[in-house]
Amino acid sequence: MIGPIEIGIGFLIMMGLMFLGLHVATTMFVTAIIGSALYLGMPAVNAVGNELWAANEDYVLLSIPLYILLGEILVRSGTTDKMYKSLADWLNFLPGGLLHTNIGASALFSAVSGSSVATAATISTVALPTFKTRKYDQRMVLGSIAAGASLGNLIPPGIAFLIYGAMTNTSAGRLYAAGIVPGALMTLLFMGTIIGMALYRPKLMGTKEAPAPLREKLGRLRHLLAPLVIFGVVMGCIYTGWATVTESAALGVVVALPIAWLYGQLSVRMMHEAFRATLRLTAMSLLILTMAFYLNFVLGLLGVTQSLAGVVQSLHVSAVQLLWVLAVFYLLLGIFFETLPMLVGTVPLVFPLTVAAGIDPVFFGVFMVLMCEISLISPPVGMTLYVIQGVRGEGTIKEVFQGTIPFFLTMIVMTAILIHFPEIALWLPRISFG
Amino acid sequence: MPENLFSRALTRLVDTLVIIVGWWLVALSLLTCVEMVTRKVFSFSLQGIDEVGGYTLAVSAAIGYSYTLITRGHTRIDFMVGKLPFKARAVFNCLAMVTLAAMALFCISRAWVVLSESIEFQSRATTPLQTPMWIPQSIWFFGWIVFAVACVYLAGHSLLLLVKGKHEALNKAYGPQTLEEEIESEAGEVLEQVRQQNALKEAGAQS
Amino acid sequence: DNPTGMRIAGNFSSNTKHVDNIEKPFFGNLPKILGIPMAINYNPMDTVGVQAADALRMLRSGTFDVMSVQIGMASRDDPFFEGVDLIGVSTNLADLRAAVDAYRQVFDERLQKRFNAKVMTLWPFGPQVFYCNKPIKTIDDVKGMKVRSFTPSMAALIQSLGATPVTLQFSEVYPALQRGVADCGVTSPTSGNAGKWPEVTNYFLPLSVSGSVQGHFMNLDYWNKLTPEVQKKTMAAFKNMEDQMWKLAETANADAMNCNIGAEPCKEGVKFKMNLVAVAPADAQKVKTAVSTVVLPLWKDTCNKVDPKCSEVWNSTVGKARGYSIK
Ligand code: NA
Ligand code: NA
Repeated sequence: MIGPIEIGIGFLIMMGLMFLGLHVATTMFVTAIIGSALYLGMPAVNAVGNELWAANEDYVLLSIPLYILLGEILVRSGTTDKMYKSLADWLNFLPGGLLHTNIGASALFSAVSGSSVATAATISTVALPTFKTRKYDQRMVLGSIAAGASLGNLIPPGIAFLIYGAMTNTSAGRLYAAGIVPGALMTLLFMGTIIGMALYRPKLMGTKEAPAPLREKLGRLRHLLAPLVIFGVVMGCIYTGWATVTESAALGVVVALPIAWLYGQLSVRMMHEAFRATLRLTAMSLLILTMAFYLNFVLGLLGVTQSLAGVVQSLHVSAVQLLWVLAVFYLLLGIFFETLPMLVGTVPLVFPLTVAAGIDPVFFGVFMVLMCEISLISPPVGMTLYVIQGVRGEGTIKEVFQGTIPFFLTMIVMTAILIHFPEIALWLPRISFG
Repeated sequence: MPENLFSRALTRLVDTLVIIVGWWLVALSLLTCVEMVTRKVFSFSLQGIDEVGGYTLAVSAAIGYSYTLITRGHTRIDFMVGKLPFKARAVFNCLAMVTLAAMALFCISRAWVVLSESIEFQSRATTPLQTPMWIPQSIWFFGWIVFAVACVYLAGHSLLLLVKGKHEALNKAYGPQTLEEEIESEAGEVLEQVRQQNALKEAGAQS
Repeated sequence: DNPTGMRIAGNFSSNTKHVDNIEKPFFGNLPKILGIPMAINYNPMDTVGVQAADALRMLRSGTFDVMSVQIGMASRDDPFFEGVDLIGVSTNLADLRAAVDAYRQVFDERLQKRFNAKVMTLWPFGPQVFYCNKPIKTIDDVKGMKVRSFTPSMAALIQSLGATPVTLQFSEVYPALQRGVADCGVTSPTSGNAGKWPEVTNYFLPLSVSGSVQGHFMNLDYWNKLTPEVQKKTMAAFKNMEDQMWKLAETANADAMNCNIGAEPCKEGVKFKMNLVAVAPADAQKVKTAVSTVVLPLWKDTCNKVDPKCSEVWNSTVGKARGYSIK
């Protein structure tokens, strides 16, 4: 068993190697090998082979490529811009007008996609041209898209939930159920932020247009069907127990195919592009995840878990205090980090602390994913921000940064709500799974 | 990657493997649906889809690693390295490739032990399919071999560039992707497609 | 010289009675019992991400000095070990104990030879019995039902009873029973009670098809480092733990069975009101026939491929003790 000082040094080595630009997977591997060579001996070093197979031969994690594939097929089927227009019909009356559609469309797209970056890319491509002639403050437009994208992982399905579940032995189905209410609440809070900004600074808002005739609006409603059907099938099958998480992801893929065909986009070429994007994102996540599993194995044998849990217990902090300390820690870390390295790099250390403090693993999963989403929109390192700026292709990234500020503050409010009212996450999994 | 026959062959091989895995994912999804329906309606269970699914993930990941390497997708934190002068940046970019290759080599040496033990013990999964473990593990091991070969090849090339003092070429080929490149590969195809659709629609609206 | 530390992979942390009440205190006290100062490093296997099926390989390589091993999973690397508790051969704990004692020596020899490890304990989780959500009176009534199974020989037994085997992970069985994906599940009274299966099933058939045998194995190099005197003390200490585990299997499962059917005394578990289906002699006979015609031939096929003497060794040990013979 090693003490907190050695643990701290190990953590710093890993972070240092990351900042030197080594691949994130390599930094975890090197840290684990150093730890096990120094304290555990060759048999533990050699156990990496078993971990390589065991960490990847996992039916639950198969849902990662399946959800990615589902999203890739759907995006390529061109449903998203029609979905956007239809949503605009019904959200435009709110103060802040078309900005609400950015949030609503993101929430809807998040319900079928497991990735925030994909959500950002999709929604900004569809939304930005619509705003060209409408005189909204650019920063509000960009900020609302970035905020919407951060729903990508929180509203199920989400890759971050699957990875957290795999690392902590927490049921993915429960995590999904736990994400729904906070995801919906965050959607409402973002809309509230827009309404607040619209009332407080009306100049930031663009021109309001006359609503389309009801007939037209009703006619366009059918474009909301594709995402709703897929969400209904995927979540419905998990909820009713007809299918496991992985089976429902497979079902989603199968349902996405005829949708792409209906929109006239199903082709071998399109499928091959979707395969490439899918395997790229899957392998990117899984190499890091595999090394994180090995690091987790070494940390467990080193007694890091008990050592840190002992420290936390001796400090006599309450669960709420611990969560606030972690929130500050992750806000700082999130400035420099992306979702995946932050998630897999810290969960092996932090999770045992939260268990020792009596925090529900399902609740902590939601908290972790929220922290990851904040890191995605906190500059200067935030993939979604750069994706949006890239799609925009004019102005400076600074405007994107500024635009996220009100939404960033909203997410901190959301963090506070989640910490002090854990029931918003825990209620749904309890009533649906007992 | 350097422009030569080996690079092209490697890219071709990896791309083909990715397409095969992709179709297999679709096929497995269809099989899963068939299984769900027969289980629900006819009380008949095609056993072992979950088991095959587990092997599928191991194989998809192993094969994906080399595709992600070739398309420069493996995650790095470029926050600090990006701010360094280009010579120092070249050193760190080379270091990243060399350490990745070292990791891949160590991993295949251990993965080989896993496979060879499965052959030695004639291990069979304790599931209704009783799959001999060497079958899925051989495909998985093959994926790791391709990854390790690609890693060593690229690390060697980056070392060569460093020794020759071609820092800029090194940074261009092995540095973290620039913003434009990253967006291009993460979302590029999607954006392109949506743009094309919009253009078509506008053309349609005008005529 | 005796080693100065012991690295242990314990059983699954969700089996709290075995892990928290027996294994943890046992290994914690071991240095005191042996009279040698020793740093104990104990982790339940799931908390360090060790797969139950990898146990024999990790013992062989010395990744762990002692491991709690699920025989059913570990027999992936050698079907011979599954022979200690083949489906349907021992239908109660007394019979199982006779089978385990008959097999222990050949088991240990093979473990030492092929996996460089030594048997310290062999014990059961408890009788694996039927929980069904449709009315049954005898085992014949499972015909046409979907029954969750988790090993090849269990699937074979279920098929020979005219039912459809369904593979599901333990955590998925509850919702599967609730929504009718499966009609029956097979597990121990304690696991079923802890997993709240009686909430979604009404008929409890205490016909045991297996005892779910577990063991503690020690890396042989580690064992050989112990002085003969310490070896003797170690063996005695593990024997003591083995007895505790057998006792737990008996008392805890008797208690849990009472709880499942709403009888007294029910001290440890949650009380439910399942209908108890009495095991008729004909049921036991039916299982016995299935063992001879389906389970044993299947195992012989698998095991003799790895070692042609498998079935012969089994006949002279477990077979003799339980009155079976593989032809
Ligand atoms: Na999502
Ligand atoms: Na960030």
